[in-house]
Amino acid sequence: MTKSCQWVESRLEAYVSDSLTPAERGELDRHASDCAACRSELAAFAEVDALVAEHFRRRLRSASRPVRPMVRPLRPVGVAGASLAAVWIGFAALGPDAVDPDAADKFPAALEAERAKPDPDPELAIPLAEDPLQPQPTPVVRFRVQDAAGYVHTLEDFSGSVLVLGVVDGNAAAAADFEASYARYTSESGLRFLAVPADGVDLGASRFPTMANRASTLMETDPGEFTIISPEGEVHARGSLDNGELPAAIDSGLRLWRDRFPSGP
Amino acid sequence: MNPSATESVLNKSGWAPRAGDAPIDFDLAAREHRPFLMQVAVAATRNVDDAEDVVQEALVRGYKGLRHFRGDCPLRVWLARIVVRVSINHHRSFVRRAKRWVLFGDLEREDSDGRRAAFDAADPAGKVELETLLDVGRGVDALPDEFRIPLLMLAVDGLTIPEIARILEIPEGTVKSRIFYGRKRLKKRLMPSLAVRAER
Repeated sequence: MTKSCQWVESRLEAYVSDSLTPAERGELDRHASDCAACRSELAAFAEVDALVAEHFRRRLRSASRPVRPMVRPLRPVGVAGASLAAVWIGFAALGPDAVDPDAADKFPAALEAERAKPDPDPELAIPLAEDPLQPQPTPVVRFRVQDAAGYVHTLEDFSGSVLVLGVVDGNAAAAADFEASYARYTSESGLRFLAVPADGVDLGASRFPTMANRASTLMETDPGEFTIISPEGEVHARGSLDNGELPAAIDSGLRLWRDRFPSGP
Repeated sequence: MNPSATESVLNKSGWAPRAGDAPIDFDLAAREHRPFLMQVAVAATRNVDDAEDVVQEALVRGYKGLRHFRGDCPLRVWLARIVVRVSINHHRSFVRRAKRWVLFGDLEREDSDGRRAAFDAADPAGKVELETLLDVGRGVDALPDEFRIPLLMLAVDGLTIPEIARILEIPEGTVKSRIFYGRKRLKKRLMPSLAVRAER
């Protein structure tokens, strides 16, 4: 008797990362030989791997190709054009060393020159002005939520535990799955659950803890997705709330917590 | 530097400095590891045109900070760690932006033989549709760094999961998990164009 598709699903991560025992791998292969859906799932992963490898080779070819800057005739138009031309001529006047395509071959000499420079004193350093022609980046807040009492919490407030963060959209089945996982794992002392409703979603009747997002990216978690965050505040796993992968990810997070704190926190 | 000391520096299985060890021939080590570091930079940078600059900057930083190398990992892992850090910070570099504005370097390319490279051939063997590869590129670029970098590093020649974990300074299990979720996200995105789907 071979294992079920659910059993295969729960071991997919270990299978594709080659972490299964030989016995489990054999069991999974036997199941896949009889089950078209699982076979197709495994083949899709293999195909994605091949595409990523090809994408990487293409990037590498592109990066390794010798490139030299194009010198184009400038057509200054008005004051702005004349200013650009002046900058261009200024750089051209620096001579061929300013743009040296063979700089990599002169590495030791460049290093010696670089090493000879004194280290800048950080206290005396003048901060470089931002480029006024580029849009200025706005600071990104990765995690900031507010509880019902109005207190704002950051990721530090959850440090030491594995945080199961779900951004719940209007999908009632996904919310029910999150609630079921909460009920199943709530007694685990290393886990904390938090649901954040997506814009316009009301989670009033839910039993799991909820807080509102306060202009953060929620660790880049999209509506309808979950993120498992390690005790150190790093993303451990992600997934979709609506396809039953949450329990396996929580198990993985729980293993992580037990690795960190074998004898409790 | 004597040859045996050089060999020990370049030994990928590990090297630890001891009292009396000859100093590291950094120039030789840099030349030896440069192709590997270039691959790591291609995996870690978002703009592939920055990879060469990133490796150069990382080697300069490595050389200047060599006294901080404790020898608790192979030199190439230590250098790769610097490459990843430089890559992540590189897009904010004022110097890079200034260079881009002045030299227009990213706008057009010319090969060493003088031919203009209008567009990179997607797949010389012609096995993969160009549109699919472009889609893979967009999908990979859309991944957060924590998933994108380990996923691409897996394609670096000879780089293993334990080494990726040491370079990124995270546990092996976390590396595997991030690679898996990166693959999963890509699979979801690419499903309409995968051959597997067409065969169903």
